[in-house]
Amino acid sequence: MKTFFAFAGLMYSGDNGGGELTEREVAQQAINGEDEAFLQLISLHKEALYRTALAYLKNEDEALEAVQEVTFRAYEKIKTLRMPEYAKTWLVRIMMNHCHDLLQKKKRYVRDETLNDLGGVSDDFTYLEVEEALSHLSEKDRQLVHLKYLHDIKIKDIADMTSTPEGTVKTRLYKAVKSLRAFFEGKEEKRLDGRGTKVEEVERGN
Amino acid sequence: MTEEERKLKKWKEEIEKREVPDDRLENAIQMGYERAKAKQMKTKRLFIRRSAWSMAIAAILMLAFITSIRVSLAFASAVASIPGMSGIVDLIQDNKGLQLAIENDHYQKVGVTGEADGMKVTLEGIITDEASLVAFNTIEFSSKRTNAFLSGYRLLDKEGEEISEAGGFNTNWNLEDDLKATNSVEIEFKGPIPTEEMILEVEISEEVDEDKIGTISLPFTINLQPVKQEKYVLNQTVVVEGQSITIKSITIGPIKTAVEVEFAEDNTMQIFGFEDLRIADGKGDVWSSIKNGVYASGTDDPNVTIYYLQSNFFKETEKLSLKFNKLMALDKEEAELIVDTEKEEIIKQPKDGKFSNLKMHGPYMEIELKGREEYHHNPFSTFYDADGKELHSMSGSFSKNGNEVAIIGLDLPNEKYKNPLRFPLHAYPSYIKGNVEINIK
Repeated sequence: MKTFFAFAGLMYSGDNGGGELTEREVAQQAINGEDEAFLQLISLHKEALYRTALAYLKNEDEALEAVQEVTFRAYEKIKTLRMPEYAKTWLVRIMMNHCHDLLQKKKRYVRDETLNDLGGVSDDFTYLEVEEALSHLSEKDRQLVHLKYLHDIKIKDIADMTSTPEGTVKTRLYKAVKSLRAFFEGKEEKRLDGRGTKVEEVERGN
Repeated sequence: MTEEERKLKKWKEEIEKREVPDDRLENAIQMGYERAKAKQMKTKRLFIRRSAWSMAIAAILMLAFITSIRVSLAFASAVASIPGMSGIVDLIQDNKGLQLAIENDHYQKVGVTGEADGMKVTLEGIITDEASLVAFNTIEFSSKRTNAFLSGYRLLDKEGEEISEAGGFNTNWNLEDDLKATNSVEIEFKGPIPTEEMILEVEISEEVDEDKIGTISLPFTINLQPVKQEKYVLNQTVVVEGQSITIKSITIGPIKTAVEVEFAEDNTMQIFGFEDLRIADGKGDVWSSIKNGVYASGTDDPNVTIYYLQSNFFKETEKLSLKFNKLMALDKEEAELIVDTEKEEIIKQPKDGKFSNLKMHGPYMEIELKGREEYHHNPFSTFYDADGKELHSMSGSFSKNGNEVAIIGLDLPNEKYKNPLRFPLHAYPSYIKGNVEINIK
């Protein structure tokens, strides 16, 4: 298996000429049920998957476990992916949904780990500030911000993938970023109905 | 760039700065993949797992594999108008005979639901012929018992006596919702078709080797008009690549057409079966073999096998002929596989060597067989150890790795045996060709 992964990596970083498969072709073959293509597809997007998991879960072990789980789920569901060109978005969304579910189950402990885990990473607090602000968005909006600002996925692609009109995606994203601003400016309490309580609860829990 | 965007950019950079534990990440992917494969393997094993009740009846051959959903629009809309039918279209998509029976009102809606342990089975409807019954079911599994599956069926009379003889079934899982499935079961009656109320008993088990966890009883009475099968005695012998084949008789019923075939004892090759046995009317309509279900059964005479075709019972024609061009066959001397499970070694196999990669996972044996895309046959049945002890596998699996390589798995029995093991072959991707046409009428 090791050799295979090395090979897959080579194909991706290579010049992509000749008879090599494009990302879309790899995705199509994976949809058709070819195991090697499936592994190659996951391998292509492993960093996106891992970083998404890490952003949500703040913990390397849990993020790796999430990658395993998402690989498992994606294998079972790959046949339902209708648009191979959006395989990455599709995978990242599975990951986000999975992480969201996990967090729902253990909401109380997350914030605590954030601080411990990332203590030495950054010299300013922007990362923590953004994470804090994101955690106050609805899950839907948070996913949107992830897709756009972490994975650089085009609004049009998000719209296609989620069968939502492009205008709607734009508006939602605009509003999401606006509520981030509101949070940065310290005005969030009034705007985010009910969410503020949760934070207090968590803090009391610590 | 707005302040928010600047912060988001910084956020992204922070996330991307973090090191990716590459080896562990690949390991995680590999583990997820292997878990998925193991589950898939198990699911496929269920597809060809024979009912425990029918184990006693030797030589019922099941050919079941997942086919893609393709139903003609006309048929789908015709069927959608019958209550309870829309959900089971996928079960009859490959069977023109059953479609014809339904179109000709030889289908009885039942609609009885039974429940056990959170699982629901609905007997949607039935089709009968002179000696057997096809039942269509929809199943909802419980989310608490995700490893449950249907492991068997039998028919009981009012006194609880079993009145079913042999049978086979296949289950199609819903791709979007793995708690839902549709299923068809074909059961032969011991005697004539009963007119009184009877019970279809569904057995549910959990995991492959676990015991059953419950049964669901579905009472119903057959109201369908009895039908008379048409039997044609032919006794015609043809020779293909030196092998002599006799078509003894053909019986056409509403569920299936049975073709009784004898392969001569002194043939040099063992014939595993027909690749393209079919019945054609003079008008371009063709009925081919059963693709999802019981496709052949043995008889008391080891040289005589009954092959089943999709039924043309409801299609009136003046002319009918039986045709075939390709048979799966191998020299009798070559038709065995001998392996050593301890050393994970193949000791003997057919000359062209299409078996490879024998692996043992505990008592579970896996071997690869290189065939073509259309090769979907399980080559194994009864096998023997070094002392000649007869062994049986309780379940097996069949999956494809790419288009060509079939991975065949067998659960070896939980008893002592002495290596090497000898498997007489019952299928192998090797063929003979001819051009045969026999007039039926």
